[in-house]
Amino acid sequence: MRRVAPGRLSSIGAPDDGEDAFESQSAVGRWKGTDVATVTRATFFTRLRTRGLSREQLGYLLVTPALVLVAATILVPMVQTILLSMQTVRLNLPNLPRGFNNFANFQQLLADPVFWSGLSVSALLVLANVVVCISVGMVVALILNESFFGRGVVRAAMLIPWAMPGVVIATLWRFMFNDQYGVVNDIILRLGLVSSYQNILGGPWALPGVMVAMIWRSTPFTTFLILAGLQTIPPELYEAAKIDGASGWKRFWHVTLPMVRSSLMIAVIFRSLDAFREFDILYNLTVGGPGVTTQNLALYTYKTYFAFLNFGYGATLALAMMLISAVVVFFYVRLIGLQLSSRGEG
Amino acid sequence: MTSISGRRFRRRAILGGGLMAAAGALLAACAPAPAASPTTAPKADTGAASAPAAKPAASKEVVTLGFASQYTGGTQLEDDKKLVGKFVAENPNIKVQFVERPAGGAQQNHDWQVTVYSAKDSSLDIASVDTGAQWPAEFAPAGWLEPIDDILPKNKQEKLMPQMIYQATHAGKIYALPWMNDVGVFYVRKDLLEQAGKKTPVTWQEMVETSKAMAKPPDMWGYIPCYRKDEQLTCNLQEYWWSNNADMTDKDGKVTINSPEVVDAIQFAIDLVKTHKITPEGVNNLLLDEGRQIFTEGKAVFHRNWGYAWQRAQSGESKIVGKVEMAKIPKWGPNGTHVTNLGGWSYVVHSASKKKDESKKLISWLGELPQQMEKYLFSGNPPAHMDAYTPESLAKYPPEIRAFAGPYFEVSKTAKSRPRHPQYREMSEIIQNEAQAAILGQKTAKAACDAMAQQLAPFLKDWKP
Repeated sequence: MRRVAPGRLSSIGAPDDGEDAFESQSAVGRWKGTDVATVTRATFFTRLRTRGLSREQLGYLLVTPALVLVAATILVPMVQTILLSMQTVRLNLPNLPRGFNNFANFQQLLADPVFWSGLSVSALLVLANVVVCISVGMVVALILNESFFGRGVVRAAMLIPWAMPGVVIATLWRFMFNDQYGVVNDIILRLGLVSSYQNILGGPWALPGVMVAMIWRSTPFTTFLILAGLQTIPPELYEAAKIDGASGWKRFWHVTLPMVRSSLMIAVIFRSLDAFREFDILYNLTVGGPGVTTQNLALYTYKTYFAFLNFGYGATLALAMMLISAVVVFFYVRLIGLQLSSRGEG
Repeated sequence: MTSISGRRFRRRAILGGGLMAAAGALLAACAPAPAASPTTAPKADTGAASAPAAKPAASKEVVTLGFASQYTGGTQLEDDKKLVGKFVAENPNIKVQFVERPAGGAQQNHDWQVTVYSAKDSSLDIASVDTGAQWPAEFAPAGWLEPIDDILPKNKQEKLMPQMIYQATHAGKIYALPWMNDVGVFYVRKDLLEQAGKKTPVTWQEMVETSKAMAKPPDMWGYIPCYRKDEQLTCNLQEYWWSNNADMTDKDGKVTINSPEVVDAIQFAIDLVKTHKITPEGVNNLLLDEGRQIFTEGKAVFHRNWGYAWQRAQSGESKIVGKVEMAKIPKWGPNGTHVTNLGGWSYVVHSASKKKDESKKLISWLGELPQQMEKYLFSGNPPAHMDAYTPESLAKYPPEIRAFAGPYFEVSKTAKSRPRHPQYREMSEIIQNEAQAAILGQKTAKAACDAMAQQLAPFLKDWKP
């Protein structure tokens, strides 16, 4: 707590002070010998006019527009959703009584078999996506990290699936999985894995089929995240490891992995949340069919809101999705120990 | 030092204040347009801008109607504008603006209309609704549609397809004026039947026999329906159990979705694929038009589709031009009924419209025979006016349309409406989920029907067809 001489207080917040924000905070307790209460009593605009703004005040002022935007676009809808989820609101039955409905929506949620099947489909999609996208992404990133002829072209080409709209990808894969003339059927027939063309998207293999399409589209994203992390690893570490006689695998395990740990964690979080929210590929590939075997929570929420116009229950589902996402992130942050900045290890 | 830093502070204050003001202005500009017009800026187009010089003594003020066409672009939209332009030319005190709406399928159209109606946006006066999918049953109880009984006296009602009038009626009042008649048709490869010496099947069982004799999967399938998980699946299934004289409820409202007839119908749908193997498994997922492509590629003997498929089969890349015949949907055995699922579209007047009389005048005019025939000729959507199918009217069409319209009308006489329930969409989803589970083999047909009955019970309580 550095005691600042009164004469210097008039330069609170001056850019060339040499004081950083923490130190000047301690000096705010006293201003021209008066205490803080007196300071705040002086009008805001008087001070603006005569003294300019303190560093803190300027900071708050500049942040306010962003805060207002966040509040309007995130907080307000979130609160509205929470309120909606406690009411019975069906848009096409506008004469239903509104008002608190004793958590009937939540009771319905817990007893709704379609919700639980949607949850298990979402969980399976997230699991498959994270495992495959990360492992394949790791391998491809390692390859792209080496320099070889045409690497630039390959990197650009890798981005194409990520850049395509979900509807186009779904249409593409629907043709490829077609049970009369699909390419995938042709390939697996020639490989001898099946004896005749299979009904992939309309049968028990619909969920794996959907996973393939999702993974195909998202692997470039994880690849490039991991690649970015790989490129920060100083080559001297590898050289040192080689000199010490470490094999390729040991180098990977003890040098590469710890260094890309933060990129990996970011990739895992993003991939999990995106896979949990997946909508456009599912909607255009199978519409959640056959039955409800590929209907995840996002698709079910959409249907409840916009096909059934059941806004109250839809809000409950949306709230459930939000809470589940929060739990997932909490799990990653606490239990696995998310580190957003990589401390050099090993 | 004070003076220099003082200037810097004031600069910072101005900067901060300016940023706040800019953010505020940005928010105001980006704020949603006032609820009065959630639709995008309506295109101002009155078609015949050549409305003649104002008739003398035009004491009525000019009103502008907001008209949401069935079409969102292309030549059909232009032709629709021309048609409406004729009305504008005859009625100088009425102008029509074509309201833009998002392009997309029926679901997008539905969602857009629900948004506009919920906002009570009076800029939309007239729209088209899918009567087959029970939009009037959904919109009318919500109070969003204006009853139009006054423009449909008995003699006019009788000229329109009776089943479509039935669909448009809610609580004894009519809410929609039919203009398009869309029914399911049983398409038959008559050349293949002649070769094999067989007749067009009258019952489902006959169809199965004929198909088994003639099918050679995967080059030649017997029958292509559409079992994709949307309304198509429910339409196909309804035709099976309707033809067996059963329905979701009986006429008193008792739930009969798990009656033996319905269970047999679901089992029949499964057997076509699993037991008889005359239907490809992929129909679970194929789009309606992809199934049609299998037929127009010449790879199937029978196909169930809507009226539009005829035109596809007779032109373009179709390999079966001139080889197709239309027939009634088969019935279930000798005691069954020929029934087909009724789709179709109708004009409605928005209840929040401020120009109801003019709107009703316009749709009444559009519902008359000459206008319905004209719309048919430019859009290819068969009219709902029954006089458009009389021999005199048929003679006025070009030959290829005549070849379609006559047989099509015979089929559409067997039309039956889906249940007029406000939450039909949700009920349809339940049927789709359970039926597909049965088709996949996850449950028996009986278990699926019982599950349907249990889940539909809350909707069907106190409801009568």
